[in-house]
Amino acid sequence: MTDEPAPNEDAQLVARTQAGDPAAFDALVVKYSPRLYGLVYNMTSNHEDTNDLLQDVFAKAYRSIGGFRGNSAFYTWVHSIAVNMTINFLKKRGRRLTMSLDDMDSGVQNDKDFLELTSSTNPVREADLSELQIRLNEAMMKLSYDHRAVVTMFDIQGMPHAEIAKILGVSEGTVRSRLFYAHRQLQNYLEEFH
Amino acid sequence: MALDEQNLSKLLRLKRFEQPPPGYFDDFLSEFQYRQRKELLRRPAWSILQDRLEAFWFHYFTLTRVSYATASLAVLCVAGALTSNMLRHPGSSVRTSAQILAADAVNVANAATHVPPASMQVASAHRATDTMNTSLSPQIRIPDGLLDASVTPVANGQHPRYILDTRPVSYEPPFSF
Repeated sequence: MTDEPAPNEDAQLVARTQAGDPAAFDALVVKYSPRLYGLVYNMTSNHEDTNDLLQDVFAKAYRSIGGFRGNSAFYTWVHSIAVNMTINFLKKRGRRLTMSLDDMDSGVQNDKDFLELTSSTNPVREADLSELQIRLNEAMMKLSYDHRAVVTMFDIQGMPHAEIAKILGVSEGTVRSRLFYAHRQLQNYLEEFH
Repeated sequence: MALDEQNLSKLLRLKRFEQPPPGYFDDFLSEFQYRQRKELLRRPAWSILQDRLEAFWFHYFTLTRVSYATASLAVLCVAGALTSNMLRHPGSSVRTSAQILAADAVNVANAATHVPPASMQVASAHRATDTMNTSLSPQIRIPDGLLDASVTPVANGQHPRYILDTRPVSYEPPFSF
C-alpha cells in the first residue's frame, strides 16, 4: 500500500481551499479518508470511534488550513493531526477494548500474504488464521499508543521510516527503536496462542 | 507456526483488509458536510460572532497591530534613553521643590552681595524713565528731580544706602531711645 500522494495536486487543492473554495477541500477529504480511516481504525479498533474521530480530524484540518504554510506536504500534515487526535482520544478512553470490525474484506482471499500464510509450507488453517487475527488485534491494543501508531503506519499502511518520523516529529532512529520493541511485544503476546 | 518477524509482518499487513461497511466512503463526505452545518447551528451566536470578529481583526488590523507595537517600542526607547541620561547625570534630574527654594535663596543672596554701583543704578533709572515717558501720554510725566531725590549716590566704596520716604536709612544706631 504505497500509493504515494501527488504533492503538486495537493498543493493546488490546498491553495484553492485557502482562497475560499470548499469544493477543493472536499476533494482532499475524498482522497485521504480511506487512508486515514485505516490509520485511525487500527489505533482504536472500533468503527464508530473511528468514524467520529475521522470527521473531527477533517473538521480540524479545515479550520486550521488557513495557517498551513506548506512547510510539509498536506499528506504529512493531515496524518499528524489524525495521529495526535487519536492518541488524545485513546488517553481519554483509557484501556477499554472495543472490537467492532473483525470481518475482513473479501479481497483478503487473494492477498499474497494471506496465501503465503495459509500455504502448505506454512500450515496455518484458515480458521486458525482468523483466530490469530483476533488475537493480533487484542495484542495491538496492549501496545502503548506511540508503539501502536508506529506499527500501524509502518506494517499496516506501508509508510517509510522517514515519513513516519516526519508525522510523529521524532527521529528515524526513534521510529526504528519503537518498531523493534513493538514487534517483540506482539510476538510475546501471540506466543501464548501457540 | 513459529511467529517470527517475517510472519508477524505478513499478519499485520493482512489488517489492511479490515474495512468499513460497503458504501461507507461514499457517504463520508456528505456526512462531513452535514456535521459542519450542524456544528454551525449548534454553536451559540456569541461564539460565531467571536470567530468572525477574530477573523476581521486578523485580516484588517494586522497593520494597526504593527503600529501599536512600533509605538510601544518607541515609547520604551524614549523612556530608556531618559532613564540612562538621568543615571549618567544625576544633577540634571527633576529638582524637588526644596532644591528649587534653596537655589532661589542662593540667587537672592548673590544679588544682595553684588549690587551694581549707584551711578549705574541712576543711569538705568533714567533710561527707564525715558522709556516710560516716551510710552506714556504727554500729560503724565515723571519729573526728573524725583528720581534724583530717591537715589543717593555713594562714593568711596561705601555700602549702598537705601532711601525710604526720602529719608536716608543708615547703619548707624539711632540716637533716640
